[in-house]
Amino acid sequence: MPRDGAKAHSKTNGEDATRAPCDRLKLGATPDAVTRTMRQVRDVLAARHPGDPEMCMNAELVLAEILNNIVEHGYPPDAAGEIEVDLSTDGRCIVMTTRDSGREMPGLSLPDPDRPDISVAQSDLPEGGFGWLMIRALARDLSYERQAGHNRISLAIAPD
Amino acid sequence: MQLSSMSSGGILVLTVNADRIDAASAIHLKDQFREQVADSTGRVVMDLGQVDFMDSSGLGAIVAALKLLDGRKLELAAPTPAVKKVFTLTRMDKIFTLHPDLETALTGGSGTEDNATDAA
Repeated sequence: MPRDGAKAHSKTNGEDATRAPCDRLKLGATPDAVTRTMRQVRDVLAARHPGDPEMCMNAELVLAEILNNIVEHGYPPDAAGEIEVDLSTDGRCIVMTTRDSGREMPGLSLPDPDRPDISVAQSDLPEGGFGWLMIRALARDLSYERQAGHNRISLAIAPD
Repeated sequence: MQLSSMSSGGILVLTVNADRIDAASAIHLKDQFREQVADSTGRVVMDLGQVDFMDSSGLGAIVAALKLLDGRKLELAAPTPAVKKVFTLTRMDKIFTLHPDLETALTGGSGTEDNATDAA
């Protein structure tokens, strides 16, 4: 059941066997909306891929990191725009796409940072910089497109 | 999200009463942790048994919590597979002691033998 802050629209065409089920969720770019949306995403993925909880877990983590990134960097504070999330499958993998109209990615590409150095003293341990590391470790076919004022990120999560 | 505390044989056990530690709740974890450990001097174990999702914000909050202990260890208990995955992917499982469950943390000593991987 769609909840406040995240609207889900299911498009499942049972008559056309070649069309994969797709869910589109929309949310405002705020941390609370991301939390609510991620709970819905978990339910959708678990229902669609009941035999592969590891793949669902990986997808959940990757999507949360991407949404967090959009919330934190894409829109100015106090001007949260909208984010669209499409969840589908190609028959094997979970396929996810996000779309937002926030600012473009620096260099028009997705971050690929070095692994944070954790061999430092405890008091100097990094508290951030892990998101893209995990996204890149778990996602395949990661792509970014900037078009007509919108960002589009798409990726696939392979079966475990 | 709420962090509740109890003392067991001189060990401070902090239980995360939430099923997700994410961008929305991470700051609350850090703030409550700071309050709860203010007067502690012994071992601190954080029970993550209820947490079935944690992202890099949550990890960041736990690292921030560790740094609040000023050189002391922060032990973690009962990480679920999703939570353990984040520690493994980031190699932070070498920085924290991860006990499989709270009982092991409380009865097994400071837990260096519980780690599946030794710090290199």
